[in-house]
Amino acid sequence: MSFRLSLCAMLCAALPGLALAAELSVLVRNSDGEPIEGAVLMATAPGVSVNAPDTPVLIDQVDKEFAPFLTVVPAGTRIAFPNSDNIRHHVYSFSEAKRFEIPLYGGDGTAPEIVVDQAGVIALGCNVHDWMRAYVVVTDTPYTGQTGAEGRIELVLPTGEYSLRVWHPGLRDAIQDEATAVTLDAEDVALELTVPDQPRWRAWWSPDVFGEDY
Amino acid sequence: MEADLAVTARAFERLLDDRNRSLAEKARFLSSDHAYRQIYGFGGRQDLETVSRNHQRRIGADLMVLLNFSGEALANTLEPGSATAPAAVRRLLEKALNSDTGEARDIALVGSVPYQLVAVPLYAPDPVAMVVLGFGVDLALAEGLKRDTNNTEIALLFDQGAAASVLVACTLDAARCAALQARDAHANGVLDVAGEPYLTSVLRLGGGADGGLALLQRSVDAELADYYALRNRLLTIFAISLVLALVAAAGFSRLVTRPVSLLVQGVRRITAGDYTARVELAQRDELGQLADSFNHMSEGLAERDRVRNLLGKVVSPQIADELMNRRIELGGEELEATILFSDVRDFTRISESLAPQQVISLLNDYLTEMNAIIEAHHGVVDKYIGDAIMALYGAPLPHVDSAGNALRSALDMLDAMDGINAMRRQRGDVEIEIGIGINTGTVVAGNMGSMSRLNYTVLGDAVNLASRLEGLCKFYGVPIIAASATVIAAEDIVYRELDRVRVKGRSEPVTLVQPLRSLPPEQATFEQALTAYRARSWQEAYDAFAGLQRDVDDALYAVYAERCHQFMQRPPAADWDGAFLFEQK
Repeated sequence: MSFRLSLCAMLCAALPGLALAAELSVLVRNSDGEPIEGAVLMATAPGVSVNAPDTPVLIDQVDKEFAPFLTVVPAGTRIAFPNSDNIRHHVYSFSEAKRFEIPLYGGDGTAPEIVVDQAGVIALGCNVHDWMRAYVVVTDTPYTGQTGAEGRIELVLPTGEYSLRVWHPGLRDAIQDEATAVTLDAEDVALELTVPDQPRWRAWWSPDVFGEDY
Repeated sequence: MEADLAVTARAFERLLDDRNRSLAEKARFLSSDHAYRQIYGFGGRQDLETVSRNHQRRIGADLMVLLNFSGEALANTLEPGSATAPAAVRRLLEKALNSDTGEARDIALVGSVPYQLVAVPLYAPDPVAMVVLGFGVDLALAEGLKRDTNNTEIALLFDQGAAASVLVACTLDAARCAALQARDAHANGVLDVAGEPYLTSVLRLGGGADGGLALLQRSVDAELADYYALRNRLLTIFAISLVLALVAAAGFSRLVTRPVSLLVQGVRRITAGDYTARVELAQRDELGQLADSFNHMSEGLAERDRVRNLLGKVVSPQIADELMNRRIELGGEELEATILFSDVRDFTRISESLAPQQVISLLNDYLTEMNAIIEAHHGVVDKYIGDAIMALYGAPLPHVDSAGNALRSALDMLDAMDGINAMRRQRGDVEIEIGIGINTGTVVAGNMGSMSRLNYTVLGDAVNLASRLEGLCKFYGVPIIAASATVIAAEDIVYRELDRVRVKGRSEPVTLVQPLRSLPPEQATFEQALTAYRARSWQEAYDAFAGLQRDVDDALYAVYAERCHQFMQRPPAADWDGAFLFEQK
């Protein structure tokens, strides 16, 4: 199955004239109808998988913030957490996709690593800096991408059946349970997905409230 | 009192709010505790409940529930193991989820126990669950609030509609608390609690979903007790002030009335004629000045009295009166008056044989008696000139019968002389005789002299004539001579015509008469002789006068006999009108 699809994909790529690929265009809105920028679209198809890279993906800690804020990686990817600050951090996540803690460590050149072995969203926090936040979206499909400023994303995909899921930071570490099924034929497909927000409170300790970092 | 309670109610709400905020802060601190997050991340339900109990104890809370956002209890220290959160807790979760901050507070019943509840999210690092902490609302809280609200009685209760309200805490005594619980309606205003009125303010607690009420109560009596105490104090102060004011007023009025009554007494004494009255006041105010003035006045009166007495002795009382009353001015007025002059005959000769004291004594006795007679007849002694007296009738005060008064004075004086001489004869002293001249006419009367020394007197021809007539008494040998102007018709006085004379300085002849009480028996003969004399029948007149002279010892007849004798040798001018010319003054 996987092989056939891969083959098909290769054929599609090799023979564009045969119209074995189509463009999927998705507009992502929140429940208020506003387009969401930076939402991650994941299109999974039966039999299609993705391989983890050989080298670890870095999530640095600079100026008491994670960098980058969002990382999309295939399952099985190693993630390293260097510390570029001159203070220590304590990285943790209690997300179902990955529960771990890297207790206090400094920027002595070491970069503790974890392996994200399960698809899902991992919300990263720092025990000593409550506001520090980063998300790692672990996928099991190569067909992913992020929406642009207008909340739109276009993916050129081989024709076939797809399950679409969308994640954005407003969902925190939850990925929609329900996927949207879409069939790509020769025709391009454009569709809109509405993703409800989780409550987004202004936390009492957020830098907005405190006015300065610490 | 009501406003006070309203202020207290606001303070009470503020207190509850502060307490809530403080509870929320504690809850936040707990919820962001990493150990708790770790247990949440790695532990099971039992671990969560253990750590929740531990944390609850740390901050002294009475319950702690951890809920996921679906309302399922992940840990519950009140009912360990139960996934069902109490209704009040679920309501609070709902409230928190819909808030801006993810936090909520309430005062609500959990079961039948009231709690102050706070909900804060558990961040790991995103909000993953809700921590609800509960703090029991009990009497200790009420007592604390009572302390913080100026001893306002506080009752916390939950009005559950049909069911009896639950009285949670009550700072009143047991009986009143029971009475409060028995009530099913609570409203602002004065509430009767077991017979005692309480001003009550009702506040809704939390959202009021559970019917939580706080009654803030002040005993009206206790409040008014302060008022009564204040009122009593004010009344006392008022009474003291009143007494002080009365004492002050009494003192002040004594200060005024005593001098006034002293002055009144003084005035009464003055009215009664006691000019020695003095009022001594040691005050320098208006009353003191009045007393000084009073003293000056009484001194002035006394002085005037002394002067009047002295004046009465120096001048006649009537003149003194005139002087005192300032009715007499320097200058004068013309008026009709009768003037009487009297003189002691041969006084110089008499006095030569006497010691000076005897002279004065004689004079004083004589003058005193004469003066009394003159005054009795409304006469005024104008002056004494040695033994001579000048008296006025009709001056200074006009009198209806001046002439009559003068004539009667003269006759009385003669009668008095009889008495004096009778005494003198007994003592062996020489008898004394007087001569009196009386005239009536227009005189100038007034004060004469200088300003420092004034005499009230009269001047004029009429005065001079009176004096002259007195001098003629010796010549005619009669005690009294009056000018005819003085003659009045009176039953008790008769007149004997003495002569018709022309005195020096006067062209008109003057008829002289002698007033008498009765005419002498030879009067008719004398009048015939006088007629003959005036008819120039000198011989006939001479014979008649000579005959009278032989029969009666009367100098007048001798005067006429002598005069007839002279006219016989040198008759007067043809136009002689019978008036005898006196060359001498």
